[in-house]
Amino acid sequence: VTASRNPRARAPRSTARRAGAFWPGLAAYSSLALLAPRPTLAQSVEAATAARAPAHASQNLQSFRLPLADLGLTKDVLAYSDVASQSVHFKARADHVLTRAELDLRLVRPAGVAGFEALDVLLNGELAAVIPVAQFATEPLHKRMSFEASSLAGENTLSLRMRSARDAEGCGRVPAGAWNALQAADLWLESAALPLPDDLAELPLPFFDPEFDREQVLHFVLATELTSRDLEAAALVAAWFALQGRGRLSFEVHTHELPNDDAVVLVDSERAASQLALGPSKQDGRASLELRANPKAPERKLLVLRASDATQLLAAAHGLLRDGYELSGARVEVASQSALANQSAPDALANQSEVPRWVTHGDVVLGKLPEPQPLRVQGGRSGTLRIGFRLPPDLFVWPSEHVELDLGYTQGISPDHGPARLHVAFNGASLGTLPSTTRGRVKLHVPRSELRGYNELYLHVSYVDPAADGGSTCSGADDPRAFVALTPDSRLRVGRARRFALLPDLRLFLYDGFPFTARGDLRDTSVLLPADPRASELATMLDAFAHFAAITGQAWTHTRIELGEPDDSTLAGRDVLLIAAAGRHPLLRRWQAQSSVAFAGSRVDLRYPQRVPLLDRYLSGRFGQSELERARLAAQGGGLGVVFGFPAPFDASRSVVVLSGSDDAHMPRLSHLQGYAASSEARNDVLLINSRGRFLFWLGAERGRGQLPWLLGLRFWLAHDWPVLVAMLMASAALIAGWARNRLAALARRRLSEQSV
Amino acid sequence: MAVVSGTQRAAHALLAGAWLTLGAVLGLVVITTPLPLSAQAIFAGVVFALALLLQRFRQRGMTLLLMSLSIIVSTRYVYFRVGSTLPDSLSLDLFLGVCLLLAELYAYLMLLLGYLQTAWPLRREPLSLPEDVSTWPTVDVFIPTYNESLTVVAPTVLAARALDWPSSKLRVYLLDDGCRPEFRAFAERVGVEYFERVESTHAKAGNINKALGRTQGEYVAIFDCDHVPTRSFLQVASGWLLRDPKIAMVQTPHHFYSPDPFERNLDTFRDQPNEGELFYGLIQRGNDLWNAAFFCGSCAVLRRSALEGVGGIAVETVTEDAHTALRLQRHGHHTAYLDLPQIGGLATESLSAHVGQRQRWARGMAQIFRVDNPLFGPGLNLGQRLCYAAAMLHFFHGLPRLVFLLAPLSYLFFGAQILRGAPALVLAYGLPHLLHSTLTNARTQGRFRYSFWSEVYETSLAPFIALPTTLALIAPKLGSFNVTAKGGQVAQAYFDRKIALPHLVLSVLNLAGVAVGLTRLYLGDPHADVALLNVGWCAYNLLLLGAALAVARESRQRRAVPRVPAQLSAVVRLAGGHARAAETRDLSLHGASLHIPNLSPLSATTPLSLGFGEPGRLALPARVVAHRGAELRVAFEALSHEQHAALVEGIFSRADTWSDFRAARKRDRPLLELLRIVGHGLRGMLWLCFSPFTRSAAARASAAQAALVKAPGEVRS
Repeated sequence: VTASRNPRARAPRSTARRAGAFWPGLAAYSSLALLAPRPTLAQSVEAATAARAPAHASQNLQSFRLPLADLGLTKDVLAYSDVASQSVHFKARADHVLTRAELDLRLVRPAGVAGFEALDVLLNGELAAVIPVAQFATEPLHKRMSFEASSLAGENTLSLRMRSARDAEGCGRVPAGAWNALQAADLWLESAALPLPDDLAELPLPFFDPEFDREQVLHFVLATELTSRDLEAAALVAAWFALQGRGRLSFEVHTHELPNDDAVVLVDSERAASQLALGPSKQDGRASLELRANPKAPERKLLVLRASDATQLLAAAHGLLRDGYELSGARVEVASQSALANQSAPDALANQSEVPRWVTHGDVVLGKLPEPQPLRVQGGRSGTLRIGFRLPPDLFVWPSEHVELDLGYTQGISPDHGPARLHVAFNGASLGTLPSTTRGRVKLHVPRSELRGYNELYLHVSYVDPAADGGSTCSGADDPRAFVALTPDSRLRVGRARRFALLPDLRLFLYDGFPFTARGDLRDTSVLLPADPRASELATMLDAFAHFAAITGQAWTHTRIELGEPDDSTLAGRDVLLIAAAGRHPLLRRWQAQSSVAFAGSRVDLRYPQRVPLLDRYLSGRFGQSELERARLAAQGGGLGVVFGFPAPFDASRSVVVLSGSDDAHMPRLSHLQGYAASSEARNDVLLINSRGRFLFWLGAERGRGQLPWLLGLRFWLAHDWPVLVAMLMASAALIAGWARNRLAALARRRLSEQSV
Repeated sequence: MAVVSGTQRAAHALLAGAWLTLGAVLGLVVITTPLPLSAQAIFAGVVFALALLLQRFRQRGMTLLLMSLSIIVSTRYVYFRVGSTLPDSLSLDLFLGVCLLLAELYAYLMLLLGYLQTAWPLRREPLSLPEDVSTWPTVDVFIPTYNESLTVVAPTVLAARALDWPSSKLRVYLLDDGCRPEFRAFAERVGVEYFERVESTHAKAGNINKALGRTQGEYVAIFDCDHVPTRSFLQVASGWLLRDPKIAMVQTPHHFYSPDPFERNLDTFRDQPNEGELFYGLIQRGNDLWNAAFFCGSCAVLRRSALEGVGGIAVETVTEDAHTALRLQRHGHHTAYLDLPQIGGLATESLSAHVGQRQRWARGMAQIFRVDNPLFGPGLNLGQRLCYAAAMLHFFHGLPRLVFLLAPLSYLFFGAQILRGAPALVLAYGLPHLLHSTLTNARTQGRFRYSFWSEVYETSLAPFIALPTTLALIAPKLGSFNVTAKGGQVAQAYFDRKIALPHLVLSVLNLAGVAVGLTRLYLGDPHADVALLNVGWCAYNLLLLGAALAVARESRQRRAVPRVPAQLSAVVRLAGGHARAAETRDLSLHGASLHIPNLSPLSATTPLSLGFGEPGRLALPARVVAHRGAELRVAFEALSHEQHAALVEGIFSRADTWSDFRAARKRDRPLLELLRIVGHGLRGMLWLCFSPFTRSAAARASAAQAALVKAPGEVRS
């Protein structure tokens, strides 16, 4: 099979076609599911979680929980929504078919829903359940209902509808806050895997589905010597996978051993290949990429990247990333020897400081986003237009309290139901309602605090019958004349914002990979690992690289991965990501004076860094020991994962972030890095993860990264270290008062001594 | 040496400039540095705690330091308000928000101008006159009158006649625009000149100007007809005129020995400073520092040449006094102010009269601001411009105050969000502004006006002066001189519904606002913090409005003539010739209160005579009104003209008559004053709430209003 350079030619097959092709298999699974008495899906998943095993009911069945909040029905959306019907869409992985679903609803007494009779549950437009309001009007109701395979499709729509006598179709309006009645809603889904051919064109299937918005686990097998080059190759492949879709990836690493699952295998010698029973290379001396059955579990697939040595393996990984190939058939030769020779020198790579997925220059123009997105809602049905884009996480608009969102819009109005109500929100924060005109342009203010690395602009489109009070008809829902569209020149005015951030700031790291992602190719990043990295540490490393790639839209090309203790001079001018379990890396000991975390064996010791003067803490408003005491309390008991950052000891302008754990089992994973964490501070430099939850603290020092004009910098510093502002205020008042005293006293003397004679 | 001295001066100036620049730059940085809510709250708390600490030191430098702190903190709030709290889009919210912001900016401007005026009150002492009285100038004393009764005017004339000044150099003129024969007869009887004027054009100013043309004294002293001078007045006031020929006018305070409506109706007379004390006790002294003390129409001595040089008293506006002073200043003349009360006058007798007087002042100041704006035109330095502007702008408080009284209703009634941003953050910035200004003003003004009373005065007057000042700005020639009623008597308490009507309406609106706000909170308003803030604001408004309503309830005034506190030795002679030494507690033209220990009980109407001074010099026939213990109250019987004149001199002409009127005054305690105002406000609110249900009381009140004893006269002041 000849590889050809045409990365965009490959289009994923539709789920429906694939499901149709394998329908007999699906029927068999469905029959089994119907016949066998089984625990509920929720019980299955919970049991699997408790046993710390993958949530697989069997090799071919997969069960998981899908909160409706993850599908868009967040607390914010529900709190502000005043439409009578809410819908979400769900599906299985592209190589799975849904076999069963359960809906778990927790309902409480609704506020202001007088006149409403019931909450209807509809699956794909069919009424599946009716929950009379009376059932939860007095006491909370926990309702669980099942949907069998016959009612499930490749892509499904689940609707919840507050129905009243006047609004039987749920097209009307409910009082704002009525949806707070929905306290929690979870979907529990079970899907069955479909057999796939050994065809590289299916990638990234069967390893993960790029359109499936859930964390997915990839197994990596490193059948290599674990040199820096081997690890860099593995990291590049992990990043390549991350670039194939938007789903979150997590990695399990195996060394010289195949798992009983789909896996990516990196092999840098024939000996290692034979140990894994992969057989001899079919094209000697050439790197290849092969999709084949897992010898250990034949129904599972292996993606094998095979080379004759570490250098070739790295060059092949680079080639895979940089050039792209038309991947089809079971096996491709990744790159020729001559090409490898040209690509092996890092300096030959493009000097990329741009970050492809970020809007780094000028305003955010909705029609010119790095990844174009629809700006139009067609038809007369209520819905939400969601436009996501990434900004540099260190975008600095202070002292302005907001950024202007200049929004143009047009709408076509169906005579059946009149104009839509258009509500704009940004990252969940309500910005305002647009006038109900056919076209217009408004300026809204996005609060500074709402600006993040990844941002979402929502346009909630609600069609309600203006003539009916709570009631409506659904006429006009499919009227092609009805639409709402944002004009492409709508923009978020951040063009004049500066780039500055106080670091370390774990929030920026956890969600945006900052500061490492400040350069898309991570050219200012060094990743440090112990001299003998363990699987858990390697898995964390792959997590991080995939995370960075998903954020930037670019796989790294210039990072250094170093094993053992490097010389400080090699780190100068670089941000350092250190990944090592407690006591496993000498730099953890050498730098402990600067950091808030020290390790004594597997014990994690938290303290204020020795080199952070007391004054610094007081100036930044951290009085007393309460934050440290809270941190120590959170660290008590059992294994602990720790993420912490501190200003780099070797370079004042750089940062060090450490991913560590009290032992291998508690090394922080991607799934640990995001989500809710308890915190009492706006910025944090320590994240503790244990069985009780995630806790963020601010214990150490911080430094500004970026350039500000001196006056702005001074003001920002004062705002940050506000006790200095008190001193400055008193000094200013004293100087002015002193001047006034001298001046007024002289004037008084002159007035009383005036004598013109 | 001269070169060295010049260099030193330049170096000092440079150093001072650098000093101020550094302070200003630091202040600007502080002002423009925003903080998040928690940091701002703590920052504000720490700064205010420091201010409280500094406040314990009494040095003048500390006062200036507190002022500087207050200015920076308030400017920081204004910067925040302008930059961060206005509604985003063009809407009703924005319009209302801008109205509120303008009102706040006005208050901020007045705060700054107030600090300028009170930063360093000049302590000017009287200068002694040359021993050679032949060098003393000739003085014409003008007492203009129009329709006031002789009982009001006579004491002033008699006391003016008794001024300590060489008789050959003193002429007293009774300037009667009313052309009343009894006044002519009285003038002839007591030996003063009498000028009458038929045409009455330009009111008081025209009256004085005509007299100026008919007299020749080097100095001119002017008294309102109810302003009874002490004998020392001319000697006290003339020293500075003699010393500095550039001084064209020396003004002394107007001191009132009768309670004004606030004092009488809120029962605060002599317990706390009256409305005018801030101006006469502090602001005029502060103006004097900037050579901007201005003429107040009475109790002043003017240099005739200067006055004639500016065409006499200004006639273009109804506040001729301030306008005349402004003209004198524009012509390069100086003015001076002596904070020594040298007259006793009658305060306005009722709230309606008080309001009428303040309306005229407000209109007049607005007229000057319009036709002869002190900020522009020649002849004034910056300090003078600002002091005059402050005096005039002060009377524009009507509209801003109404905005403050109505602003919270915009959200409670209409849901209008006139402030963008979290209410907690607005409070975190706004409260320090209020607290520091209150603290600083309590320190600088505390002896002359207790904290929060400005709010009561402004609330009472706002509905009445908002329109005149606005109209005067648009059409400055509209309106005429209205004469202030004085010397009347309230025979029975009554509630002046007419004057209270605007406050009744505002109170009902704010009460409704509170009710709506509480209902919103009960129903779970999504902006509960905004609702709570506005409910609190309405409640505060209600307290101020309640106090204003309490002022509109006119208390009964039992005495026809106010008594003057005086501790004078006296001799009481009973009918049998038995004499006892006594000491007066107070005196009036109608009677006296005496302290006589160990005196056998006397029945009412017992005749006696009351002697003052050397035996036989002055003995006044009297009768006992009441005798309890050592306290004896007597009423004078029919007095001869000479006895009456002597009594006037005894009561009013003593040089120390008013010297210690502030001596017993307690220091300002802001929280206590706030509580007092709360008490008055609650009283007013109770009247508001229950008066509709007490018809008989209302009827009685109406009858009482009808029974108001007609004012003996009105005074052009």
